[in-house]
Amino acid sequence: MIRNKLFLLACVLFAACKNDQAPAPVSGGVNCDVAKITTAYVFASIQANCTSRGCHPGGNSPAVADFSTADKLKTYINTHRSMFELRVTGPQADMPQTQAFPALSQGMKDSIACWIAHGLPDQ
Amino acid sequence: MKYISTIFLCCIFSLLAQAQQLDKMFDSSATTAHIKVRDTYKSTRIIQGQSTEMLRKHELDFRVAHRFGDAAGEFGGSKTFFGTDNSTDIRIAFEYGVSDNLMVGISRSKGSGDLQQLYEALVKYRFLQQTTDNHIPVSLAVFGNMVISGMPSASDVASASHFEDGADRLMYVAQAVVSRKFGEKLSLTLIPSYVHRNHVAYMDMNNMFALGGAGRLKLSKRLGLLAEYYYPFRSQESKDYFKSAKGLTFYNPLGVGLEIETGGHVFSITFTNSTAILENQFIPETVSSWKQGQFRWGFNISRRFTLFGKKDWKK
Repeated sequence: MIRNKLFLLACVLFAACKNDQAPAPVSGGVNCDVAKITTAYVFASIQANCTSRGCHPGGNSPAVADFSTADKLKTYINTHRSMFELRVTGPQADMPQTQAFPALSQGMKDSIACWIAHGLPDQ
Repeated sequence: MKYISTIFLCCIFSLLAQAQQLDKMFDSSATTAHIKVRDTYKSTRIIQGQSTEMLRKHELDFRVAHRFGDAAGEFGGSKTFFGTDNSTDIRIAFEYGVSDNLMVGISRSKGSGDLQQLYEALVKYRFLQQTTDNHIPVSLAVFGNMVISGMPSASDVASASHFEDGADRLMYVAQAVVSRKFGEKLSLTLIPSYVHRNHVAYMDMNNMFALGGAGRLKLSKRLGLLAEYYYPFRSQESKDYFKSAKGLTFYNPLGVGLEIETGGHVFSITFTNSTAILENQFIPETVSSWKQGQFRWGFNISRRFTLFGKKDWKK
């Protein structure tokens, strides 16, 4: 009986087993030399992905990372740039975390990194 | 590669299916003449990988594991209190001893790598237990798990976390764990491992073999020094692509730790370069380096409870 159950379990597991690879990323998605990424564009993304579900509102934990306004976002990046790059745009980025936010696309990460590299321009 | 993995996993399940018969065979031989070696390790896990230790029948193990942020380097140091302000992975698990040689479990972990929000189902079976007279020179266990991610699908189709269907969320691990206790103080373990991930990023590997090695040096009755290392066999082509296209270098997971037994609890303080806790992630996806200060401290806590059949267990 146990043997049958284990065999059935093995069959179910292997039915779901496959080898699938994502397509190659589109190269040159963001050419930072010519791209014009503005504060408004980045802040809209931050609102959609980082603050819309009660996170980073300023006041609740974590209070330091307050992205409730564009100015506060820029202040945080200016004072914690390495931390922001580590967790949002870097290769080990783990933000947004698991409160049902989807992961940022590589294109969006590149856009934010480009905006930071250009000095957080408004225009 | 898929055929190899299928055969490998089929072998494990067919062996598990014969568990009862083997159990009887080895028990009878061991009880008549051969004394089994006990406490090769204090816990069912060494640092991150599995040991050949098992839960006893009807024992429930509640486990909590935590890995903090980088202790040193650019993102560590006093500004994050040596990584304590950040957590890279957290795992909570319930594991149960079906028999003295078979255990099953479920867990939930945060995940650290391409996939997050991980739910795991695991099974481990011990085929052989070392005996003091070397009639059986090593202990041998097999471990398998299946992990599914509950995270929302990424919109970017080139991302490893973009899921076309539910099967894209699945990962598997199969391991053989071979241990030997040398005298009272030293235990050594080899862990040939196989990781399968259904959906990976471009140029990443769906199937990966790795060889793990681990050991424990007993310092006192309640204290042991642990070390664990894995060598993943990632193709050079894949390494080159990730380095040139994404600036990522893969490193071999290395951990050291202290194992402390405190009556009913086993507490391990660990230092690892890998950020993830589950084998499905720390074997193929470790991109942090000890040399760059990207190591972290963490802990494993194990608390065991006896459920049904307490009288049998006491015997």
